[in-house]
Amino acid sequence: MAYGIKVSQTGHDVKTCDDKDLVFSSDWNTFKIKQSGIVYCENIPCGNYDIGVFMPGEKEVIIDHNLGYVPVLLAYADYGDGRFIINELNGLKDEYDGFKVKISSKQIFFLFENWSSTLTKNAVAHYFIFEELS
Amino acid sequence: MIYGIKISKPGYDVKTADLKDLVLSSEKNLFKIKNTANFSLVVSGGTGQTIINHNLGYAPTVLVYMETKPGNGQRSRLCFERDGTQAYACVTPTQLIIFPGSVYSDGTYNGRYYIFHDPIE
Repeated sequence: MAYGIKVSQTGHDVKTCDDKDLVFSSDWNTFKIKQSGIVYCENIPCGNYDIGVFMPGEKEVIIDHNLGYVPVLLAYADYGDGRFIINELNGLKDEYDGFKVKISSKQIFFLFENWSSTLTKNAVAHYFIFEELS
Repeated sequence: MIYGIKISKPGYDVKTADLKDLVLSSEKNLFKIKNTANFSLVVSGGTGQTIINHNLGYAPTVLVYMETKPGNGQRSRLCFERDGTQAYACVTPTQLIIFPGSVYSDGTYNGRYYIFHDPIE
């Protein structure tokens, strides 16, 4: 006999509803947060033109996680205006900044891009590492 | 009578805990993983494509992670197309499609995808 648990969304019968109307089923995995944290990046230089093309200023911050596998990661950066941008966003000159993150089996590499043409910036990133593999 | 279930984090009273301190509540949906697997994207001449058939009949939420260079073991989340400088993923009611941006160098990129039960719309 197979054992398990299912939980339906409010208003749906757990015995008959579609899969998408379940909140939880022990048949399926969900993301579980293994680690979370904050990294700070100060004095990100402003961008400049290079042969007529505007290039953002960049600064990289690297931290160790040492999990021994490449996990799923999500990160969000705030450049001081209260808006959190999700990782893997390209910027646009003088409008919004870029934020890119990559992860190996040992480290996380945060790349903060400053797309301002005039202002040095600071940023803070909040990250979540999950149990699951990427 | 309304039925439901709540599970709190350790150290929190399930009867009074804030939603953020619950691990599970039947009042709030969770992303549920329907399918996850490794994949490879072969890029040649700047082009290539990997298609995963899911055949759900609706466009599901997805997450895709892939190496930033062939075989380097450093992975980033793929995003939707913006300016042709990154690798992309898009999803339809039948397929998850992964393809490179125009500046991706040739080689084999390894990655992993997650397809959730939960629809985008």
